[in-house]
Amino acid sequence: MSVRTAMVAVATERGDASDGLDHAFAAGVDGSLERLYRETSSLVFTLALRALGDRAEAEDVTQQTYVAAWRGRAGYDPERAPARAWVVGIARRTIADALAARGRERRRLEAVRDVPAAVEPDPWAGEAERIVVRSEVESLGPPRSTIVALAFFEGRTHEQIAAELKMPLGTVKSHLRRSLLALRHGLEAADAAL
Amino acid sequence: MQHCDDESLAAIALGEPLSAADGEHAATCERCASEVEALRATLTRAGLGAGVELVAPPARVWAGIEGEIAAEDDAPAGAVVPLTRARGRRERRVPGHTFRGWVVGAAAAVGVVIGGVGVALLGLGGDGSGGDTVVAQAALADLATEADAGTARVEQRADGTEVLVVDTVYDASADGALEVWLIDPDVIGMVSVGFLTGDHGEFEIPAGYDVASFPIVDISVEPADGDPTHSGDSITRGVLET
Repeated sequence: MSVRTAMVAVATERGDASDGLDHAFAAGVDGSLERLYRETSSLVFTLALRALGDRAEAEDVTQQTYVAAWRGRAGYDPERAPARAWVVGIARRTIADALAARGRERRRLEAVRDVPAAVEPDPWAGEAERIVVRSEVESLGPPRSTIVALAFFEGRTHEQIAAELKMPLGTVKSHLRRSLLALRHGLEAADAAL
Repeated sequence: MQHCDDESLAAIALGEPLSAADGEHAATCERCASEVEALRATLTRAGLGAGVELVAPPARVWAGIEGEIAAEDDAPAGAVVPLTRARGRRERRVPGHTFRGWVVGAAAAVGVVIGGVGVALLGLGGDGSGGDTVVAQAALADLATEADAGTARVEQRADGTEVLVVDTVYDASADGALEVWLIDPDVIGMVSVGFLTGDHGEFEIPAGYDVASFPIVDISVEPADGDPTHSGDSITRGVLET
């Protein structure tokens, strides 16, 4: 993702960046699935990997997610949600299906062995939230993703960030303001797609 | 009372108001205060991303996806954006910031035209006058309503020049002049051939442009703003077929 002109309002900037892809994807334009994959596959794969704890299964789920997204694109409405959020919704359902299938298999085995089924807590929801947030930060692109990581994750002061990145203090602050607005926009879209 | 703009709200949420007046306003204005509150919640939430490593899938995953969908891609695409949706997009467009969005909307619209209207109306035309040869023709569709909006055809004159002849319903009430364009199938390259001033217009196609490479006929509303590029506000479109 390239650094865009700072004077463009952030919501519009963000909206437009995904909008081109959203409409292209809905229209089935050549290359749009690949672009969507490039922009979101780390998020989807990480979600699957953390939920399933198994690389091969996570790869399967990732593949199924994008194939389902492409086949189901007629049901996708770019006016309602970014394709990015939509594909994450599909990923979550695919992951839930994989977990459910695993649960069925385990219960079948346990029934055979006459072992009481374990009650499973859901540590997964909080982890998924953390992954989605991280992905939103990454999608800000440099230098904003770096500035946000330094400020919000590592608690650096604006002055420290300015010194470290050799950037005027005002620029750092401006990036943080715009990043905050973009993150709100992106996270709201992610929530809406759940 | 003027509300704070987004950047002022973000500045307040980050603890550094851009001006004292902003801070005072947000302290007393319910609407701005709740926006600041939402941005502070985002700020807190953003902290959750700390320590998370995103893992990229191996290349074989994409290869698998491509393989799985390759077969069905041979079928014609049926899932294009409805024209009404493309229309909605244009109405919300931001001036000076529209080109990319328009391209995609247009690509979608062309898909619809090719898939539906264009094929259905293939038999039209063929009434080239004055001995000129009709080399291509298109049914035009109103992008808002998908209704029939006349025809366009390309006539080749005896001297070899090609002329785009447009017969459509001219609506002078549109907020701007109506400009006629030829656009390539990728909706990236385009050339203006002139302005439509009545129900019938004839436009010589500039040398070097041919309808095989620029088959999309597009009529746009162009505000009198001195900007020579396409406004993104297309009202009528069709695809020339030879």
